[in-house]
Parts: sequence; structure tokens; C-alpha cells
Amino acid sequence: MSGRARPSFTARIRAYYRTLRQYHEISEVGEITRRYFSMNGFDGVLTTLGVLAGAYLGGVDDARAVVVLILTTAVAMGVSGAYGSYMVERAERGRALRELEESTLTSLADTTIAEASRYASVVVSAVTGGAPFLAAVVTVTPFLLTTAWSVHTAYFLAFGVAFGELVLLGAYLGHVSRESLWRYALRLVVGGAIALALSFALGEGVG
Amino acid sequence: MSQIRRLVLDVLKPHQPTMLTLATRLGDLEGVVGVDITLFEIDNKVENIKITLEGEDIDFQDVSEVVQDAGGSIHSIDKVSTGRRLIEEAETPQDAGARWMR
Repeated sequence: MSGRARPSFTARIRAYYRTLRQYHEISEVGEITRRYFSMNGFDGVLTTLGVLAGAYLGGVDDARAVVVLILTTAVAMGVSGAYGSYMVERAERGRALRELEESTLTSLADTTIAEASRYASVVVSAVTGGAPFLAAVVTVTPFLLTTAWSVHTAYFLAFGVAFGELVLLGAYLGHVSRESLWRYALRLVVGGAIALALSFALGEGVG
Repeated sequence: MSQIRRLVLDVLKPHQPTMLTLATRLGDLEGVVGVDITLFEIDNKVENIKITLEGEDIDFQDVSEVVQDAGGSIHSIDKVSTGRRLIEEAETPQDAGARWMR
């Protein structure tokens, strides 16, 4: 019987974290996740702005209806992002692994690099699905507090929250690119304003 | 049975995980006291390295598993030393002729 003591829970957690960090470095997944987080977060905010504009112009004055509308949209965006990107990432990384096997002349299944590829697919899919879902869920929060204000006020607060998210996202992009945070934030806010203006114009036109 | 004291391997591996990671994992093996990895050749996908291990009782199976787990393949065992004392290759008169040909 082995005399080695089982590592403590903390030691196992630390070892697991070190393994994940190693997979993160091997798969070079940092850049891709930053890209997809920003892109899909922006998509999520603008889609939610569009749905909110549509609900407002359509005269939806039931807070519960708006929450259901936004949350179902959020779930659809989340599932679409997560599932689609998982399939794409898995296919691309599988191809890269096959090409590498042609150089090493050995199977790379069950190696660290294969596990890192699987880790990357899961992380990218979680970020791609999670970013728009989170963006939509945060935007809808004013409608959960309509005991404090009216539904009409909640709409404008939700628009405000969405633009606040765009500012934060822009600042994040500015930080990533090491350029002016405010310039990037402004660019994203302008994008959101254009989307909202077009939605209102379309709604008024149809109405 | 005699223990392996020194092992020199010719290995082909992908760039990731790096030589640093491979050397650390080999150094953590029981029976291994020292590890040296030297880069011989590199291209855009793989690198050819020489791994030298020294210790009291090196388990080749463990070493092989670590190398394979890192995506590498052992092309050849270039040197092995066993016994209670590490000795170097003995010079013979034939070596001078072989060196001249090289």
C-alpha cells in the first residue's frame, strides 16, 4: 500500500488552477476570448436595444412582458453563441491538431495539447454565449423594480443601462488596445445611438 | 537489477507545451536528480531536442509517458548509463579512425 498522503483540498484546487493556466497558455485562447467577448457583448447590447425600442413603440406597458421578451432573446443569443462557437472552435482546433500530427508523426490524442484544445473550445463557447446573455440580462434589470418607478421610466432607465454597458465595453476595448478609453467608449455609444435611432425611425415609419 | 543513472534521448515535440514545462515535469519524476534539454532544430511546427536525465533510479516508462503527454515522440535512446557508478565512454584506437572519417 502506498505511503503517500492524499493532497489536501487546497493543494488539489491549486494544482487544478495551475493545469488550467497551462491549458490557457498552450491554446493561446486569451486573444480569441477577448475578441468574442467584446464582439458578442456589443451584439447583445444592440439586439436588446432593438427589442426594447420595438416593445416601447409597440406600446408594451407590462413590465413582466418586457422581462420575458428580453430574457427569451437573451437565452436565444446565449445558446446560439455558445453552441455555434463550440462547433466552430472544435472543428478548427481539430484541424490544427491533425496538421500537427503530420509533423510529429504521432497521435496527439490524450496529450496535454489535445486537452488544451478541448479546454479552449469550452472557454470560447462560454464567453461567446455568456457575453450577449449577460448584456441582455443586465439591461432588463430596471423592469424588475417597477414598484419603485413606472414602466415608462423603466424603459428609459434600461436604455441608460444599455448605453452604460457600451461605455464600459468601449473602455475595456480602449484598455486592450492601449488607446484612449473614452474615444473607444464614444465610438461604441455612437454605434448604439445609430442602432436605436434606426429602430425608432423604422417603428415610427411602420406605425 | 541495475538502475538507470543517465539517459540521453532524441525527441521530436510540438512547440507547446514548451521545453520549460517538459523539463519541469521530468524533473519532478521520482529517481530523477537532474534534467538538461537542448534544442537542436526547430521549424514552424515542431522542435528536435536532446533530453539528458541523471538520477539514482530513472524509470524509462515514466519518462516516456511524460514525453508522450507533452505531444513528443522519442526518436532514439542515444545513451544510457546504469550501475552503481557513472562512467564515461571509453576511448579506443578505432575512435581516432572514425573521428577522422567524420
